[in-house]
Amino acid sequence: MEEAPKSKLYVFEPLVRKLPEVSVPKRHVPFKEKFIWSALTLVVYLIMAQIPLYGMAAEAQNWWGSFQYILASRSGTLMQLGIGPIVTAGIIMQLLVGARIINLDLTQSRDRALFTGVQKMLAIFIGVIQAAAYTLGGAFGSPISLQAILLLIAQLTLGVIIVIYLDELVSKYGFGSGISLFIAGGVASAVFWQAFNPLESGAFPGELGGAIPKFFVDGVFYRPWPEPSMVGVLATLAIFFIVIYAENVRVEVPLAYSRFGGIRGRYPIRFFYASVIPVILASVLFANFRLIGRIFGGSFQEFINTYLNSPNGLTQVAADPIRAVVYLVILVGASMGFAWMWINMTNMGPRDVAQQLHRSGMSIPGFRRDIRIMERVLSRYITAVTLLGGAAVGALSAGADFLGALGSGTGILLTVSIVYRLYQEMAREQISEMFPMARRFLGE
Amino acid sequence: MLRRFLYECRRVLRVARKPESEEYWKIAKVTGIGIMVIGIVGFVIRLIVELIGA
Repeated sequence: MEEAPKSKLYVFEPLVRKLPEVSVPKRHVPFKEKFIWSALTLVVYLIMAQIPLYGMAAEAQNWWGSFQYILASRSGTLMQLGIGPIVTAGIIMQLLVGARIINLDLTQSRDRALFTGVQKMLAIFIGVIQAAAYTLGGAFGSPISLQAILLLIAQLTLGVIIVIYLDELVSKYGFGSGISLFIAGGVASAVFWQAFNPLESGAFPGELGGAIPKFFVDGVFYRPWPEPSMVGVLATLAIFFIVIYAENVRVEVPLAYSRFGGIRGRYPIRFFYASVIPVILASVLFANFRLIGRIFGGSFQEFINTYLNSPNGLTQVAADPIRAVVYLVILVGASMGFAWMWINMTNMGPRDVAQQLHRSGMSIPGFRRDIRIMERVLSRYITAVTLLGGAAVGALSAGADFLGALGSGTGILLTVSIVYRLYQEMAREQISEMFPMARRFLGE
Repeated sequence: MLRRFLYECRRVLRVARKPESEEYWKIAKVTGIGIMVIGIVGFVIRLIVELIGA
């Protein structure tokens, strides 16, 4: 067999080899151990999100706005950059491989190792760049001494490196991924803090911080953003129940095995086919526009901060309803686009699914056993579900923000679906441990 | 084409399987507890930090 040309990326291989790595577990990691690793990592993250940066000249500015939640970032702490660098590096690498600018075959273990290694280096590199941009851009106050600048960049970079390795640890020894665990941890803590905070609000001395204490002490049901109120608490609960519902809506395509005398089966297509990824991608895109806006300033920045940034709470929506509508339309449109892009990038499109089903000897009853016909039938379902699901996720996220939901609309959306999937994974793992034979069916 | 798409959407929503009430509440309960546990841990850590800092 002719050997495929090696990717130019291989110049990085000696460097990647030197990069420390969490070793792959050599045996099946038992349920209990996985649980302990995940819980431990989550606590480490939550503590790091409380450790203030040393050397700040003023209170840290939050450049991300409510995007901080999906980036698991917390201003003024070691987690200022959160998972931003990892996610950005991941998106860049995916795009480069997807567009075949980098020629790597991710089914090959050596190519895959190189891919993850380079992605890790890129994440650290982006981390340093963002750390420098924050510090030099005056997010921690200015003027600021050279010593403090270097110290701050070092701390932020250290934070990024720790997050990278914690993520790797969870991916290999825990449930789900570290990234999703950190997002859920950050959002869930923010929701609980904003709801129950018994202390004075930091921004408004003398005002109770939490929505529920405020309601019971002063009988206040609504107050304008950023102070959390009961309206936000109710909106948060509503989003929770809607997302749980929508996560469980699925379209089932009837199937038949051509062997085994035509046993009937069903192929489920979930309503959130591309899950919440479209909103994440749209938000990351908007967040990056926000940073670009900072650089250009002027009316460009104003435009981005107005229309690519959700109005928070009913007061802001009422003040500028057009802004709310424009934002809603842009977010829904972008989510649909990203949903479509995502399923095609991750082999979830009609053609890929048809190929998988065809290979396993299935066909759609009432139709000829032909892969093109199968693709066409599947395409009718998948196209509609993908776009509808993408639109729904975008609309839910925007709606939650309009109502001033705690922890941001996208944040809640993400957290509910992350924790739901975590539960599914844990349940599956437990079954496979109780019945080792079942592991085969579950594809482990 | 838009009309055709909207028609497909309506059809897909009609044939979609919605969760049954029992299944739904079970999932809501488990997921809710999961979020509560994570949220309470984060809340306690933050409360300790804020009280020490004050």
